[in-house]
Amino acid sequence: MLFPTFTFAVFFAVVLTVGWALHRNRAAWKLFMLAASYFFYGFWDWRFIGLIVLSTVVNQGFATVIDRSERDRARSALLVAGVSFNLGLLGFFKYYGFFAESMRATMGRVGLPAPPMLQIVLPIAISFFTFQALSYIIDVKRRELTPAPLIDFALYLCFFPHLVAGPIVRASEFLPQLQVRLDPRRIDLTGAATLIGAGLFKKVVISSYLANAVVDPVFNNPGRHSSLELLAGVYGYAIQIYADFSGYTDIAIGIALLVGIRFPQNFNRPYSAASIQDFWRRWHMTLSNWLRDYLYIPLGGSRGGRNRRDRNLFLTMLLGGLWHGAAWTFVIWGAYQGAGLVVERRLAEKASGVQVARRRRRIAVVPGRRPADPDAAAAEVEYPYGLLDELDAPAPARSRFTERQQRWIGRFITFNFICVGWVFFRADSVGDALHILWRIPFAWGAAPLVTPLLAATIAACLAVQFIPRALTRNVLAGLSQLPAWVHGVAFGAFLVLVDLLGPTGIAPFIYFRF
Amino acid sequence: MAEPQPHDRRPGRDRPHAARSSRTSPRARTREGFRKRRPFRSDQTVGAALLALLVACLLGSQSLVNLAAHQPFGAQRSVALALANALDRVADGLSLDRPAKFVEQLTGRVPEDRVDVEALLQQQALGVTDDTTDPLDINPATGLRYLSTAEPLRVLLAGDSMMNDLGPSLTELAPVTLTSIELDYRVSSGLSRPDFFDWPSHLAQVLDAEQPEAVVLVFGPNDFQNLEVDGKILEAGSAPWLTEYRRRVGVVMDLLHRPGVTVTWAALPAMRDPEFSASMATVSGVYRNEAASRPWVRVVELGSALNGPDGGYAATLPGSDGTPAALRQGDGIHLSRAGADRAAVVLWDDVSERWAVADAAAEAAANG
Repeated sequence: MLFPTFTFAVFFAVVLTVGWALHRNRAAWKLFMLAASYFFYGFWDWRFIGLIVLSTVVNQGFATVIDRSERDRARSALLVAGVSFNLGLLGFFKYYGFFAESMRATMGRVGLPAPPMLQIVLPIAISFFTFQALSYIIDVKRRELTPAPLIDFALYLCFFPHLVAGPIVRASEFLPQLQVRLDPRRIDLTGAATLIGAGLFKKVVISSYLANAVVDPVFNNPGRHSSLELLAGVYGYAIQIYADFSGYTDIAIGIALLVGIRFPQNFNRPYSAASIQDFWRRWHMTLSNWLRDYLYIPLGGSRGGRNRRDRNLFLTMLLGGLWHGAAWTFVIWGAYQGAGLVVERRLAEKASGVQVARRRRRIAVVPGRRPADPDAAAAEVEYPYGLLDELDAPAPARSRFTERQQRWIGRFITFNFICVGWVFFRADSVGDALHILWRIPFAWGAAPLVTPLLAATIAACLAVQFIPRALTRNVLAGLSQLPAWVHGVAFGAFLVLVDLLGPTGIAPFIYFRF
Repeated sequence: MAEPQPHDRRPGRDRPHAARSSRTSPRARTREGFRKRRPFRSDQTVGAALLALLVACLLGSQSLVNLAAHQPFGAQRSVALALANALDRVADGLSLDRPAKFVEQLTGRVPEDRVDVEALLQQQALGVTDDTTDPLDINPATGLRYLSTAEPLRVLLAGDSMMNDLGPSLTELAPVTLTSIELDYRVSSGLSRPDFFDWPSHLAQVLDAEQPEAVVLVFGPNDFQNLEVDGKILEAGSAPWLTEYRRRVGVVMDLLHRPGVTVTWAALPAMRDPEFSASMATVSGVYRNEAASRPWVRVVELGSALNGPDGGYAATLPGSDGTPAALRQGDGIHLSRAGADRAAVVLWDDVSERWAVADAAAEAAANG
């Protein structure tokens, strides 16, 4: 069931109505939401429900046993078993075909009979709910959480707004909301409607248009396109993936808001970033934070000097790339981002000498979450990306440019650096990616794909990243003064407009395959 | 005025003035200095959501009718269509469908005109469509015209979403200077549901407008479903269904019977789901049978490139370097890039052989 469909609209209308009718009976509300979420998931393939139920029961078992164990070694061993189970499940479904065929080929070469191969279907959402389950058992092991009741944990894993493609909501962000009564008087209808509307527009209109107009033609056959078309294809893909993925999470956050649950922000105008580090503080923030807390810090974080820090940072980004799939394009993409972050940080440190200005900016606060390990807390402060932490940044070096000019130069370089990375992310092979990058400076010629509408769309989507937050928030505050029925009528009309401007049939969200 | 209480259903709660006296008056500010948004009650929220759905259904009633009409034939479709039509009549009566029609006209999203394909076929049978190619331009080896960089081969790649997979790979195989390629695919389409997308009518228009010479077609995955003929439902796979499907395939093949036009029609490979695979074997059998009596159509077996050594479904096969490559997408039907690359080779071989593309490429290279 895709968000931008009539089927989902009817499903959600029922869930919203019954959900609020049950809000005073929390147990009934949870049961209903759980049933609705399983229905939503089973709509793709009912067999998937068995998988998520298995993951729920096993992870809850691990969390309970870990919590009851007093000895640290036993807790660690149980955690290793739990992590192995989750990664095994993920690896089996995501990489089975690749490895099984490698084994068959090897056995065939040495003259052994090839074993029969299972036909494995990759269950949708498995990456996302596995990451959430991992965060739960790790937080329990770290004594940052106590195991939640089974129904709460089950709902946390399969809650339909975030189930398929995030945001990756942490147990410590979600479970406390199930412990308090829903407040039926304080629903952010305006904010939710705006998020859902913007998300639909980004996905159905912007993403689809760019994919059809330039991105798919260019990436499918780079050899047939001129420099300008290739450049438009690369920039177009940068906008497409942002519109597609942030569109999905906007809708998810808006839908959750309407049923009374708050999700963390996942995107914060990423193409206005003035550095790679800044970009990763704004792009898929919940994954960045997850990687920070469950990969970077366990690897040692920034403890042990600059070299160790840079190694850990590089490895984190490399594994983050590999999470997207067993393909060299993703490995290179991750390595490229990791190398970019390391080099950028080293250059900044070199330029500013050894002085480090402690420019602390608290951007957001995670309620109820406090790292138990002081070293981890220290590492968190040093960590170069993540929305929810405090930032240490090298002091800006002296320059002949004004600070404002430096910021814009930084934005230009960062955007283009990120776009080069997207070429590897989108291309079918490393060879295709290199072919595109190689042709951009040399393949001069006509560019019929680059129309004024295309150029205007890309420019407008970039310009939107620079609209001051105060302006949008104040406009929304003004709109919220309108009566609820005006919200309903306006939103209904907007849905029709999106439907009319979009193509017939909606392609799945890009992040569904991860 | 007091703070709104849970389930406070007094009238006028959602009026602006009612909110002004609450904590979230228009002047209220957050800690960061932003104006605060006014919160709503759950009954207001649910009401607004239901109202939005109703407004969307009325303003976009035609989309709902299309949505219902495109479902598989059966009771569910009939009920959905009856409801959508009723809603559409209400919207029409109240002129609520006008804004949507206005936007459709503005964006050029008007339905394609239908061509009377039967009449067109009769014209073709009478020989009204003449070949205008100069006999001196005919390559005796192929019986078709010579290709050159000045007049490249006009290739039409058409079909359902499988052609979306195959198109890029085919385009890559075709020499850039000797071919001009038009990719025309429609997701979820086929020959079973002209009410969703009328391929014969569309192809007739494309043939006139684009004058393609080599036509490559892929249909089938959406075709094994009930057909409707004169209000009667023909069950998929039944004898009447086969007769009607054969007729529709024959119509498309005959439509493409024009001087200097070749047709390459794909027979589908094995699919992961055995039942679906069997149905695809049925439709592929129809293509073979119909092509047997039409020499301008050649059926190319995609299974020769995509099936396993046992002739069955293969999720992966070793590539040229021995590394296994996944051939299909997650649904076990559509092709991955590696699968499309393999399938494109057998399709392009047919086009290339019939049009002597390799010879033309060699000549073009020799001429500089």
